[in-house]
Amino acid sequence: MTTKVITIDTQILKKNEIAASENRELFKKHKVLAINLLSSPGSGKTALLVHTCSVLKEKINVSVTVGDLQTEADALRIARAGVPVVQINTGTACHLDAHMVQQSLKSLPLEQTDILFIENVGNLVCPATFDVGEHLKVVLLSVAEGEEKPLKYPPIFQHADCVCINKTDLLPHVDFNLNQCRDNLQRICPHAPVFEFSCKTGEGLSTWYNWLLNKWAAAFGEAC
Amino acid sequence: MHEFSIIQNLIPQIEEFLLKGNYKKVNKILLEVGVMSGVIQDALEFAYDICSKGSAIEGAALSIRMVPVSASCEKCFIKFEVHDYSFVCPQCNGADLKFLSGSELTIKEIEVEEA
Ligand SMILES: Nc1nc2c(ncn2[C@@H]2O[C@H](COP(=O)(O)OP(=O)(O)OP(=O)(O)O)[C@@H](O)[C@H]2O)c(=O)[nH]1
Ligand SMILES: [Mg+2]
Ligand SMILES: [Zn+2]
Repeated sequence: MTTKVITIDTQILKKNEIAASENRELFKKHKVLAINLLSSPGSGKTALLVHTCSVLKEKINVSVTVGDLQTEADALRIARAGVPVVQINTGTACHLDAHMVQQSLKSLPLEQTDILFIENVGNLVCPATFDVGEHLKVVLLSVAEGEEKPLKYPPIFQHADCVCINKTDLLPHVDFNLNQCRDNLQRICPHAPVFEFSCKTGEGLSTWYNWLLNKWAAAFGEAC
Repeated sequence: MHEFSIIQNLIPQIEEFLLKGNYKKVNKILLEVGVMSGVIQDALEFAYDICSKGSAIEGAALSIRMVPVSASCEKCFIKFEVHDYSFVCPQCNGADLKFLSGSELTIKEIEVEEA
């Protein structure tokens, strides 16, 4: 009996990578800027999308894909903002993968979409590993979660193209050290701009909208 | 627990390889896992033990080589290993880095028995 060692050198998530590249091709074809929105459960991803969609839809076309283990609740909230939205129920999976996103794209008007938001499953670990074909990763955290989040979950923060700190209206009520949080972010993702806002009062959201519009204009848009 | 999804992606690839090469069985599987891949070694091993049972690769030893994060500075072009998640150049303190390793999730090699 002979044994031999064979070099393989293939990605374990090869299938996901293929689907992610297909998604990227589709986004390119339809000139869609795809944004993967990541956070712990309850940081305010859906709240942020409700605001963002209501405001941006006056200027550009927005669509949303939203992932949760169960329920259509988030899609219903976003639909009320008056934009096309699809809910993905992942069942037991703790993250969206490129296939799930690909399926959901079939129900969205991509040819009339400028920015697609992909609300990932609330989780700061697993979604970091799965490329869904997005152009940008936005990581959200809320002041109710503690300033150490970036140090505890470096992979997701390290790949962030921008970081949003939400629920600033709660700052007087929680022992959240905002300066420390900024320092921690500076350490883990020095390249990422940080936006601080409240989805409850709306304060601080305009810089986030401008960042999005600039990113879109730089990628696909005509000067606006 | 996305380690289960990862193992569920791994097993069919090895099975397909066995089938195509007409090998009898696989003895060892070597993976390379980057420190920044977001995957935990223990959880991966645990998922492997559970999922490999009853599959064509049952009994194959899984070994995992963790790959440290390394980067090069886009300003002074030095290469360095990133420790303690400190993502700045040790020479110029700049943050404009190119990552060279650390997010791998690769099937490196397998040891098979010929039929
Ligand atoms: N006070 C305050 N509450 C907020 C703010 N943003 C969101 N919330 C509340 O926080 C809770 C969670 O918000 P969601 O938007 O559902 O959070 P999510 O990240 O989409 O949650 P999952 O999809 O379950 O992961 C809701 O009760 C929101 O009303 C904010 O800026 N301030
Ligand atoms: Mg939500
Ligand atoms: Zn340097």
